[in-house]
Amino acid sequence: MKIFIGHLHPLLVHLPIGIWIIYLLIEFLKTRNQYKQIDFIIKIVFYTGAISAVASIITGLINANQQGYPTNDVFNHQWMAIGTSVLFLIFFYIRNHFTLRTVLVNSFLILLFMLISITGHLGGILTHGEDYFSIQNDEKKVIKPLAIQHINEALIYKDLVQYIFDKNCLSCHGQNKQKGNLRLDTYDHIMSGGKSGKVIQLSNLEKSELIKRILLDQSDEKHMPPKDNMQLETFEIQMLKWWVSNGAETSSKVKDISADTLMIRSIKQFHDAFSQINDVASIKRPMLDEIEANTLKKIQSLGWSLIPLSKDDHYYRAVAFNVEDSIGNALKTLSEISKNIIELKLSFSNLNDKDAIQLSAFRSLEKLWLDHTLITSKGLENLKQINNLNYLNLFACSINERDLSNYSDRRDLKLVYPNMKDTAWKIADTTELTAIKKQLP
Amino acid sequence: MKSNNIHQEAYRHNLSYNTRRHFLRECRTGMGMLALGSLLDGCNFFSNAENELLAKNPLAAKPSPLLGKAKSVIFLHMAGAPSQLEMFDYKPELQKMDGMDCPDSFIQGKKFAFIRGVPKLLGPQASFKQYGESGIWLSNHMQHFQSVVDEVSLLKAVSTDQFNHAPAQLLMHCGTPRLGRPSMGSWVTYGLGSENSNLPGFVVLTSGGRNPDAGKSVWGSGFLPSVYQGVQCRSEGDPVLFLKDPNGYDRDLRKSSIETINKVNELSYEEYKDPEILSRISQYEMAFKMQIAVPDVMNISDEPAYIHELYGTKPGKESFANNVLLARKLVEKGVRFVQLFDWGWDSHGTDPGTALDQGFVEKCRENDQAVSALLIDLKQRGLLDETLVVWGGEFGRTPMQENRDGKQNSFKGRDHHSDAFCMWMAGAGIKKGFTYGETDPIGYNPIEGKVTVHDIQATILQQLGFDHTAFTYPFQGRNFRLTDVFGKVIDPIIS
Ligand code: HEC
Repeated sequence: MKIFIGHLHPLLVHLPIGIWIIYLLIEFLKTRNQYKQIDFIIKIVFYTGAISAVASIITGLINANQQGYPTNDVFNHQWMAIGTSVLFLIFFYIRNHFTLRTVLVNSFLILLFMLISITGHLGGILTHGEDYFSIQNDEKKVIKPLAIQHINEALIYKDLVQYIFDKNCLSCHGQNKQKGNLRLDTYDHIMSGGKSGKVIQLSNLEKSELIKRILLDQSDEKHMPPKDNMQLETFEIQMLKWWVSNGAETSSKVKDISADTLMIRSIKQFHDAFSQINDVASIKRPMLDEIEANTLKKIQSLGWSLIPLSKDDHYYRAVAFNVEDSIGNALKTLSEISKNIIELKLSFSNLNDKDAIQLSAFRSLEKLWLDHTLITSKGLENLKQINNLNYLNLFACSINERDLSNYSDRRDLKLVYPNMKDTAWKIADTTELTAIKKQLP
Repeated sequence: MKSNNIHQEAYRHNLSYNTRRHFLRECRTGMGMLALGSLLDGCNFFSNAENELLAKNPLAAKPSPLLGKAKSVIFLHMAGAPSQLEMFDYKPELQKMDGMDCPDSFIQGKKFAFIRGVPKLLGPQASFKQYGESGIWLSNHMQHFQSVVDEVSLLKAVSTDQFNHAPAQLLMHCGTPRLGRPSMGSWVTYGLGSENSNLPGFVVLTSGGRNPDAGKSVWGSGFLPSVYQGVQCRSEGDPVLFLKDPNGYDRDLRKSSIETINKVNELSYEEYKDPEILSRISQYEMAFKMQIAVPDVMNISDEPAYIHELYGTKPGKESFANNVLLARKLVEKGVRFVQLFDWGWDSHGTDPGTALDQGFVEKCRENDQAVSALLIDLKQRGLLDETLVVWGGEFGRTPMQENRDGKQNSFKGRDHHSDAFCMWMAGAGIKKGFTYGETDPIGYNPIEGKVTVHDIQATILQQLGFDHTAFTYPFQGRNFRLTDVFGKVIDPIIS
C-alpha cells in the first residue's frame, strides 16, 4: 500500500504545477483593468492548487526512499518543492491582505513561475535522467563509435563488453545513479554486484542475474534494460553470454577466440554496427585488395561460382559444380586469386591426383571439399603446406584411415571421410548397418 | 449569367480558368512522366555490372548479409498435422483423465474444426520413454529416432493462429494465412541464389498421394520474380514434366537449335540492351543443362544398398522415404531449399487410415526410419554442419477425442489444435539434444517457451545469415518481409 501511494507521486505532481501556473496567470491578468471581474475564480484555483500540492508533497516524501534515486537529487527536489509551496502561500496571503504596486506583483509572479518550473525540472531529472531534457541529447543518441584500430587486437572485456555496458546501462547503473544498487562502469563494480548480491557467476549463465535479466522477455518488469530504453541487439546479448560463460575474464583478445562462429559473427555484426573504421577485414584474416573485374569474369566464365564470404573483404568461397572444362585447368585459372580463396568446394568433380597438384597453390584455404572425387592419398600430399586448413571432406573417396595418419596430430582439423572402411559402398546386411550407426559420432 | 450567391459565383469564375489547355497539359506531363518512369526502369537506366550479371543468371549465388551457418534447408512438412501427443509431448496426466469430459475452461470461446459440444479427453495412444543423453521423451512409434535424438532441438510449445489446413500451411511457409506472398524457399533462393545453376535452387517433393491443401501456393514465388518459385519434382516417372526432348529429337539437334535461338537473341540484345533478353538466353542454356542434371540427381537407384537399407527406400516408387533420400542428394549437389510435403497425418479417427492406433502408427513408422536415416546420413557426409533440417506439421492435435458433430468418432482420433504442437530443428548451428518449451499437464496450452510460426521462420532465416527484419522486397509501395511485422529468433535453441 505504501509503495502504491508513493507511486502516485509522478501522477499527482502535474496538478499543482498546472493549476498554480494558471493561478499566476490570473493574478497577472487581474493587474489589468479590463480583467477585474476575474477575481471571483481566483480563490477556487488557488485552493485546488494548494490541496494538490500538499498531496504531491506527501506522496513524494513516501516515494523518496523507495526508488533508489541518488539522495542528492532527491534532497534538492524535495526542498525546492516544499519551499516553493510555502512561498506561494505567503504570496497569496499578502495579496489578499495588502495592496501592492503592480511592478512588485509582477516580479513576484515571475519569481514564483521560475521556482515552480525548476522544481518540476528537478523531479523530471529523477525519473527521466540527467540528459533527457537537453539539446545535445539529439546528438548523444548517435553513439560514440568504437575506439579500436583493429578488431583482432581488441580486448574482449575492455573494448567490447564494457562498451556495451557504457552504451546501454550506465545511464542507470553508473557513477551518477545506481538503480538496484548496481554499478556497471568498472570491472570491480560489475563483479561486486547489486542489492541482490553478485550479478555475475563465473562460467554460469543460469545463475548470473545480469544475464538472466537481459534474456527475460521485454514485457517482464525485471527485463534489462527496462522497456522504452535502448535495447540490446541479439549479437550484443550473444557477446555478453559468451563473456560470462568463458569466465568473464579481462585479458583475452578477439584473436584468441577459438573457432566459435557464433561469437565471431556477433563480433563482426557489432563491429559493423559501431565502428567507423572502414577496415571490415574479416576477423582473423589480413586485408586484401579488390580483385579486378576482368579476372573475376574470366574465372566465372569457366563455371566457378564465386561467393564473397562477407561484404567488402574480398575473401571467397569457390564452388565447382558448374565447371565444365577439366577441373585441373579450372583450378589453374582460379589459382590466380588463390590468396582470396578460403573455401573451396570440389565435390563431385572428376578431380584426380594429377589435378590435385594445383591445390598446393591455395595456401589460404580453410575449408576444402574433395568428396566424391578421384583423389587418393597421393593427391593429398599437395595439401601439406596449407596450414590454415581446418576442414577437409573426403567422403566417398578411395581413402582410408591409414592414409590420413599424417593428419592425426592436426587436432584443429575436422576430417570427414568414409568411416565405413573401404567396403562401405558395398555393405548390404543389417548387422553391419547397426555397426555403422554405433560408430557415428 | 445570374448567380444566387457569391460562393457559386466564385466557383464558376474559377472553373472558367480551367480550360481545355489545362487538360492537355496534364495529359502531356502526367502521361509523359509515367512513360518515362517505365522506360528508364525498363532499359535498366540505373544498371550496373551486378545487375547485368543477375539478369544473366538470377540464381547466381550471393553472399548472405550476415555470417550464416546454414547453406541449405530441408523442410519436412507433415501435411495434415501429426499428433504431438503420440510422438513427442508425453502427458501422463492426460492418461489418467482418459475418457473424462473435457473441462469447460478449455472449450469455452474456442473454435474447433469438427469438435462440437463437450468432447472427452483422450489419453496418449502410445507409450513413452526417455532417450539419449538429453533424455528427450519419445513414443514407441519413434524407434529409430532414439538414435538421433541427441542431434535435434525439440520445440514443444509451438503455436499458430490458424486451425484449418490450407491457411495454416500458408502461414507456415509464406508468413500469412492468405494467398499471394512468396514462400520461404522463394525468399531464400531470392536472397542467396544457388551454387549449382544446373539444378533448380528450390525443389519441392510431395508424397502421400496428395498435394498439401494450400496447393502450389505454399511453394509459390508470390510477388518475387517467378524464377524463385519452387520446382516440383516427381520421384516417379519424369522428375520434371516437359523437360524431356520429344521422341526422335536428339540432344545434338536440341543443342544446335538452342544455339541458333540464342544467337538471334544476342543480336537483339546488342540492339536494345534489354536485360530481359539476357535472362532469356541464360534460361535456355540452363534448361538445356537441367535436362541432363535433373534426371541424374533424381535417380536413386544407383545409391548403395546400405543407403536403401538405412532409409527404407524402394527405387521407382513414390514414397516419403524416397523423397527424403532425394532431399539429401539434392542438398549434396548444392540445391538451396528442399521442401517435402507428406500427406496423411490428419488423424481425425473417422476411418482406419486416420485412426491413432492404426493409420497413424503406419505413418510414424515410415517417417521415423527415413527421417532418422536422413540425420545419420547428413552427419556422416559432413553435411549436417551446413544443412538445417526442420520437421513439423502446420498445427497440432487436441488432447480431446474428436466428436464430429457431437457424436464420438468410430476410431480414436483428435481434432485440429492450434495452441500447442511440436516441431524440431537440427543441424547448422542448432543446439543438439535440447528441448525448449513446455505445455500444461494435458498438452493444451503452452506454459513456457512458447514460440510462434513467425519465430520459426525468423530462426531459419537467421541460420541462413539473414536478419529477418531487414530482408525485404518492395512491392506495391511498401517493403514486405517473410515474417511480416512479427517473429523473434528463438535464441535458446541456437548453439
Ligand atoms: C532506465 C534505467 C535502467 C537501465 C538503462 C538499466 N537498468 Fe538495470 N535496473 C534498473 C532498476 C530501476 C533496477 C532495480 C529494480 C529491479 O530490481 O528491477 C535495476 C536492476 C538491475 C539489476 C539487478 C541488481 C540487483 O542486484 O538486484 C541488474 C543485474 C541490472 N539492472 C542490469 C542491467 C543491465 C545489464 C543494463 C544494461 C544492459 C541495465 N540494467 C540497464 C534500471 C535500469
